[in-house]
Amino acid sequence: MNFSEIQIIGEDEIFKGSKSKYVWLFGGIFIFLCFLAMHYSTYISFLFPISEGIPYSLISYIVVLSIGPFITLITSFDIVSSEIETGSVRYIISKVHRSSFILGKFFFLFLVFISVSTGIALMSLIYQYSEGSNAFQLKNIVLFWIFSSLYLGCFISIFLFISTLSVNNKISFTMSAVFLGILIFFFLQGHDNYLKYLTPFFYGVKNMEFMKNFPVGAGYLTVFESLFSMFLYMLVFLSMSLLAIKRRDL
Amino acid sequence: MKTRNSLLIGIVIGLVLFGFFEYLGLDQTYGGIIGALIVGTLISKTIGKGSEKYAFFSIFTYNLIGWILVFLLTPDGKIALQYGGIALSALVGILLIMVFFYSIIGSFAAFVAFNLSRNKEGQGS
Repeated sequence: MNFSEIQIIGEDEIFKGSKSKYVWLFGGIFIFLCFLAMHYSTYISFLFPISEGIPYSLISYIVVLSIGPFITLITSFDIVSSEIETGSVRYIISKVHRSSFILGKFFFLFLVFISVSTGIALMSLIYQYSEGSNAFQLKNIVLFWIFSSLYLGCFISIFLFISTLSVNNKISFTMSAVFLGILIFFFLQGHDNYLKYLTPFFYGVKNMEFMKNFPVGAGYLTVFESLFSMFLYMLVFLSMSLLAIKRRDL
Repeated sequence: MKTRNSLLIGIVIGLVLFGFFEYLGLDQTYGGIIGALIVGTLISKTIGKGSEKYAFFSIFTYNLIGWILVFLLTPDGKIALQYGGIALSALVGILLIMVFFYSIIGSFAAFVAFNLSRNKEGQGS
């Protein structure tokens, strides 16, 4: 693994990659969907206390929780498998380490989705600012940005792992959709079931509590605990991707 | 090893695991998922390329046989059969959905186990 190699792969994906425009397009669609949700949120304002105003960051976060996995699936299912299918991966790994190749791809997607989260967070900020009064809550916006970036990062690492295992885009898409279905199945097993810990949905939904009422005092620890568990989840799947690319025949 | 034999071994091992988890009184969901993961991995190791569909078929079959035996041989199963009606249809429907998901999980386990294994050139049916 070499940082300059990771940087080269990442920059190449952003500026020269054929997939770059497509990923940014879906990122833009994602931001637009969040904009629509915030714009029409006045219709559901009765769901929230009048004194606090409409929680735009929370509405955006709900959109990220529900649509985010599908947008991530569409953008990242073929990130490695397309290179394997066309055989171009052989030329790349003859120049750079296999681990740098995977990490470069991951950081490209992660950077795009961090930018998307930033765009949505800025939009929430503008909406809150335009509402005036005491509704301006920078704390919630920062939390939204960190949580949604990590949540989407978890899904990027999952789909990157599946893409690394697949020999073509068709298999990669099918297996990614199947795994997303399995995760939804695990999450729907109920609150008492331990399977919920295996899904990013659980951590994402758990973080919603912090966006409603930010914990004070010792409660800060729960925020760090949640951040750490999401980071760990991402790290596990990223490690599995690195293991897969090192073991497989290309 | 022939694919047919591998399937048979998968079904038999699955049934043994099904009975073992039933004997231990383990939660059906955990038992079903653990059994599917074990059988899926085992089938991918023996069959090799294209083992996903065989894993799916094998897991679906052993779960189906297992549940039929549970319904026919246990007192609770007999009560459910005697009661009949819409409740039994709903129960069977839910069971089929669960078995379908276990088969998908096993199939995914076979896919991961096969692609994570080294020296795949020597494998295949």
